[in-house]
Amino acid sequence: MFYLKRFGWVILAILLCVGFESVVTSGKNFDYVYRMCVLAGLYVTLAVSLNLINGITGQFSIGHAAFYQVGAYITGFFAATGYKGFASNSLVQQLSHIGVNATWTVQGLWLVMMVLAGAAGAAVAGFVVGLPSLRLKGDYLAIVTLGFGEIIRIVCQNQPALGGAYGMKIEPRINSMWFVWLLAILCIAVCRNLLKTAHGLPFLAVREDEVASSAMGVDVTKVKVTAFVIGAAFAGAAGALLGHFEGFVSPPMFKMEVSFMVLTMVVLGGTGSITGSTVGALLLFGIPEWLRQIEDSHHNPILVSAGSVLGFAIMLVAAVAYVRHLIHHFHGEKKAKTQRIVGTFAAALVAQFFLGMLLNLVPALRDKSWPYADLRWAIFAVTLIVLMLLRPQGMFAHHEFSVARFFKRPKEAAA
Amino acid sequence: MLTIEGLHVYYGAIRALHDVSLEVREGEVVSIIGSNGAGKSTLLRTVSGLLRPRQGKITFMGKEIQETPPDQIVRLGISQSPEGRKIFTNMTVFENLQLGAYTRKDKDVASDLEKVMDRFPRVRERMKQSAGTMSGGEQQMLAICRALMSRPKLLLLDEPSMGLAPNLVTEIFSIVKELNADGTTILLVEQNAVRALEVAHRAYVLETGDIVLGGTGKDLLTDPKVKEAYLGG
Amino acid sequence: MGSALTLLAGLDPAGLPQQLVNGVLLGGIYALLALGYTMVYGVLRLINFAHGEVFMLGAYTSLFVSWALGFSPEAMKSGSHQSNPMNLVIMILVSMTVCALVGVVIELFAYRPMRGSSRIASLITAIGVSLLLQYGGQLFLPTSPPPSISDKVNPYSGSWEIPLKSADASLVAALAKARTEAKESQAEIDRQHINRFDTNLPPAQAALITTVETSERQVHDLEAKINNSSVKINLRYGQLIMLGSTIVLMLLLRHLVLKTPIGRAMRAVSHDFDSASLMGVNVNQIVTLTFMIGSALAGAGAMMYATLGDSPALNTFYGSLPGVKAFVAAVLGGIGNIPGAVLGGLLMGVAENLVVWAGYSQYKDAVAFVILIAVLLLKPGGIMGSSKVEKV
Repeated sequence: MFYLKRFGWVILAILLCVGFESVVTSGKNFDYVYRMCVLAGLYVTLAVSLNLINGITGQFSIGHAAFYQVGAYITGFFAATGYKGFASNSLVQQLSHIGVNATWTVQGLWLVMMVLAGAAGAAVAGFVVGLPSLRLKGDYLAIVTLGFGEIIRIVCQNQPALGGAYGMKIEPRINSMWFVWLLAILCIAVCRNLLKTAHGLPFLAVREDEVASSAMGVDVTKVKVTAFVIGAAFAGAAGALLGHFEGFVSPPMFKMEVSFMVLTMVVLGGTGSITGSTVGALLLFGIPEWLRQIEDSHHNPILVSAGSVLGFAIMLVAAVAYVRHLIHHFHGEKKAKTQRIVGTFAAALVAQFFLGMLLNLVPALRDKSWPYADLRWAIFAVTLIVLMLLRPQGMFAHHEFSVARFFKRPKEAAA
Repeated sequence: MLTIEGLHVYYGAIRALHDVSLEVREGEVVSIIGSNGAGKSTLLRTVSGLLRPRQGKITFMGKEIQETPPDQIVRLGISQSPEGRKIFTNMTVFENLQLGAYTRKDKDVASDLEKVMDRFPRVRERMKQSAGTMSGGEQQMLAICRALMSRPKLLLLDEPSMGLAPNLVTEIFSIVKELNADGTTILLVEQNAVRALEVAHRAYVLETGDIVLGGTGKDLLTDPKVKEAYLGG
Repeated sequence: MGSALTLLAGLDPAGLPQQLVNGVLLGGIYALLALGYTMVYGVLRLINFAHGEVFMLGAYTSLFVSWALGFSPEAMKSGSHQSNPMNLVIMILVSMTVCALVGVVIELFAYRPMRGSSRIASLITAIGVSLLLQYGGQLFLPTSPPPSISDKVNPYSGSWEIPLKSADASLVAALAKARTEAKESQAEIDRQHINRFDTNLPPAQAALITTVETSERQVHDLEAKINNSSVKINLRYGQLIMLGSTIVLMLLLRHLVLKTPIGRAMRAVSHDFDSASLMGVNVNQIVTLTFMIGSALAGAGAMMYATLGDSPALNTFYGSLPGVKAFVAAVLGGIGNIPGAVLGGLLMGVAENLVVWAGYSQYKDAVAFVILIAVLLLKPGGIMGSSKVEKV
């Protein structure tokens, strides 16, 4: 019965992903939307897998792009050297008659193999990076993971066999949106099951207190390295899918910023919360893309003047300062506190609009302007800082989001 | 000299001191006794300005100081030898003492140093040594010396006998008496109730954040409840 | 083994002293930056990721000051420009001041509110500040085409050559001979008014031209050989000024930290906030001061690197690589340890130039991370730090 139920869930997940893909592809000019959905799925996988290392096990890794890169480059290497041989292999040729479409089956088989290869390669890298975590903690470990990421990037950049600074072309390009989302769901499921079962307790114990958990008989070494290996494997698998989707890989695709982005997704959602990481990934991937899109009816980007930016910045600083004051010095009822905080932000939002208009009276501030797209990394950085100042534990803190919890709370408070 | 009225102190949501009121008069030694976790150190930390009370008033020589930052409080004349000594182990003994006189710009620092050293000859011997290499008793002496270097009107001592051998404990308490005889007002916090009550003009008993008893040192020494709870029956 | 031998054979021993010197000079800049990391880490236990960006702002400030002093690209097009030492002094002072202010503002708005939060949260804030300065800076600072400080600003453009080993005498003689030969045949050609580029010359004249070309080539080869056989160090005056100023700044810092009440207060704060404030030390003031000093040193380093060193052109990511390397230097020397930061900086500079010397210049940015990982795994406390593993 248990396995039947499991199997049912797997079928459901596959149907869901295939269904999602067909909904997306049914639209007109779906190329852009399709691409966004694929990348969003990859970011969800990255964020949830990093959450396993950072949030659940409490190891501070900030070089996740390295594992992503390892997966992508392994795929690139195999695709360049082995895909032709694979496609013309007699066994594969025979198998290809099973599916609806011969190319589809061949590419599907290949993709599965590449995902496994990418995951395996990244898992090895994860093992290597996980080892220092036995000796190092906190920001020292963070720096080592960051350094490791940079080393991998610089080495790839200087290996002619791996395409050097220009990167590698990956043939064939495979549009695999349903597969991407299936991987994301698998990653979420693995993390969730780990937390729900007894296997996950050692991970949480290591996060809370290493010394105490080793005193309780937890094999801290094994737990940390396992977390790194699993987390890295999923990132590597995502990398493999990215490589075949984009049709090429190049070193700049895996810069430090990518690691920071994924880290922020995890932190935004609340370290340790799987739903948090998922929502964080969708938001942080979606919002900058949306900012890039902002344009008027003639497809010209809408510009923001320096005055408006300055007005916004001033009111943001004021609002954040006041909300921090509320958080620390307001000891009244929780509901009243929330109301005041929301009120402050609402007031600041209105005020920044008028302040912006006022500042725009200054010609120098009015004439300097940028499209929203140029502002998106600055907005990203500001979000990060404001988040840390106001809610360092993230949106959902350690908890998982659940609808029931959302509705139950007020009743309990009333009772 | 120091008046505390209705003091409430919290660590986050946890209440550490509840409606504490007490008084220290000029020239007195006042002891606060209580078990581990009763809030004794919290009280001294609040007086020194390291913690902000959520409610209540602390008045020192007619000035309200509950909102004053710690460095200003030192300048007003309250100096503390903190729990666990907290000397600067990576500096020399001399540098520790110089830091004690950090707030002072007058010319008497050198002569004060001589005076303090006369009282603590062991510290003088170690002047050039790194403070971290000293024994626990010596470190405690240094912590008191350091607190004295700012010429305090009120000296706060947090568990000066903690972790010391019995003969050193005796020495520390005789020093407390001497310092008081020389005119320093002292607020002492101790787990060693007998010694603390012996040396005190007046004393308070603190229990899980509440002052439960107060009186002269002698009265408390003979109080049956105190006897049972703190003096070993 | 074989490959190791070919590797060694490919090395150029004559270039080594020069590369070592370059390494020390570059290391001085890293050391200045590393001091900022180490001081801030010492008092706040925070890796100030934005320190590299302070360096970047320092370089931009120097650029703007140099423009204001009459070395802007437009002004450079017209006529000759004489610089004087005063310009350098103004640039470094303004750069230091601006950086100090930036450091204070960052501390006040981003780091001070984070005191008492988890270290991870503080670190993420630091990353946020760094990204904000990089990408926010792009909106306001000139980035394309990437500007550079004109080298005309430096009035000391000459250099000082230290010969360590003179060239092979026989080579020098051969060179002299080849030169005379070349000159003689050239004179002969000039005398006969032969057009060198005429393809239809009689054989005798063609032979003469071949002789000239051969001897010219010989001269060229011999010059290269002499260059390789002699060992010398070339010190540009600008670099010497850079090293001198770096040393002066470090000695000043050392005096401040070890001998003054403020320095004592700084050490007390880095030991323990509460104990320090019980001494009457205003902890906030000292932390602000630490950021000011650290950032000012970064400003000085940035001005010197951008004006006198072999700096790339400016963009808003200008500080991130030097920043990372200086951070590694600080860890290498033992973070929180001031002499350690200086030593670490010098070692980093030398290591980087050794990699360049060995012919792997494309890996010179990776070497920092390799060193970092090796140090953290083998001696986490750094060379001069305490050897205890940090408990977070």
